[in-house]
Amino acid sequence: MSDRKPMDEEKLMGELRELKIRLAMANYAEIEGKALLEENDSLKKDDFYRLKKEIKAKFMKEFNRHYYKQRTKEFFNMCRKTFNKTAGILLIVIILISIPVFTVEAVRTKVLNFMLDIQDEYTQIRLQEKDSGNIVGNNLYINWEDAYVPKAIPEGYTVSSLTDNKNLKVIEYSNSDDSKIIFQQLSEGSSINIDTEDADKISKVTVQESEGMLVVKGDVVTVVWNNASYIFVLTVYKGGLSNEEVLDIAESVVLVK
Amino acid sequence: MLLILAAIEDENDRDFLSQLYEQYYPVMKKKAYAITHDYNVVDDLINDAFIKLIDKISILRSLDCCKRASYIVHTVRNISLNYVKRREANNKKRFLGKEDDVLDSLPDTAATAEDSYMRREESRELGEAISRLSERDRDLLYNKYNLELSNGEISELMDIPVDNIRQYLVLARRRALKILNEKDIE
Repeated sequence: MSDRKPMDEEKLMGELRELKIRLAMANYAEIEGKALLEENDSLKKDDFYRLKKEIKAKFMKEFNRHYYKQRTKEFFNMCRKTFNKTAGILLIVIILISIPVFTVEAVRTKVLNFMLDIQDEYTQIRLQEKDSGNIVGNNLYINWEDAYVPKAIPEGYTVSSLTDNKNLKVIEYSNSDDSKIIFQQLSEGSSINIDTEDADKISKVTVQESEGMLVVKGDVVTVVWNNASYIFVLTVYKGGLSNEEVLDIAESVVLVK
Repeated sequence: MLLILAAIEDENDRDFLSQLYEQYYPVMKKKAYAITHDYNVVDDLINDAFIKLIDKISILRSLDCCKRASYIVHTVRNISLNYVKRREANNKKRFLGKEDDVLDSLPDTAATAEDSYMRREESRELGEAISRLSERDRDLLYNKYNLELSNGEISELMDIPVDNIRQYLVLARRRALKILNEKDIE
């Protein structure tokens, strides 16, 4: 049962009386304010009432201190309130988005396409998810599960180092001129930083039908690309190779079965 | 981006209040002195009033210049009254404001256009009717309706027990309505 009485005359008269007083007080403020403004204008001509610089400076100092203190407090209160609301909404949105993303394979592959996080000084590249386990063994020909290798290594280069970690496989080639070709294969959950600060050239390239990036900085050429499961980084140090030749090496990368 | 916008808004508000301080300083000084009779504290009281007004920026922005001047001066006045009360508690002296009633110098508000004449005249009459109230009733109603102070704040400011504020307001409203109704009959 509602207590509302929309046509209760007594109540309406009460509201009318209240409004009348409010209106009268507002009008009183206006009349008074007009008189105050006139008085203020005439006082301005009196040197005694004129605002002195040092008084204004003192006011500003004290006022600013309180003003920013109060505003900062208000801002943090607002942030806290907003955060509490937003956090709940965001959590629901994240859960709703996550369900299809991590259950549909096509979406998952797309999401896991490598993420380029370009910073001022470097570019971070990473893949996420998937629990990978590898067999350790520093032998190019044995026990590397899902290992990729470049086939078109220029003449004169030999394998000088092999690394097979959980998320990273590295094959390092070098020649007699101390030039190096380093091929890295990174799996999900790992990341690598490419030095792109002040690079001479950073361009988009296509390697093995995937979008990649070519970075030239001095005598170091780096190509980065990916497939559904791995990021590949091919770096040539002092190789004297053209960008096209480096891209040819990248194109020659094949899965060792 | 939000931070930048907030900072810009902050700067605008800060400038707005400091301009008001500059603009109304003379009359604030005079009104504060009329209550305290002490020029040594007047500037500090004006500063305190403006610190209090930081929370009222949106209200101040919404008012026209006349109402804004009234609002600011009443805030200064209340701060000054509070100061005097505290001082009295220490000194057992009482100073009464001599010049805090500006109603003697109320200007005549002339109508500027035929179509707004009636409304303006009615507004003026309503406002002037309030000036016929006692100073205590007027202050009570001003603090309640224009400054929107709580009963507790009014009680502290006007030395009225908080339990009696409601009753005082009822009586002040009744007296105000009586005058307003007399105007209606006239």
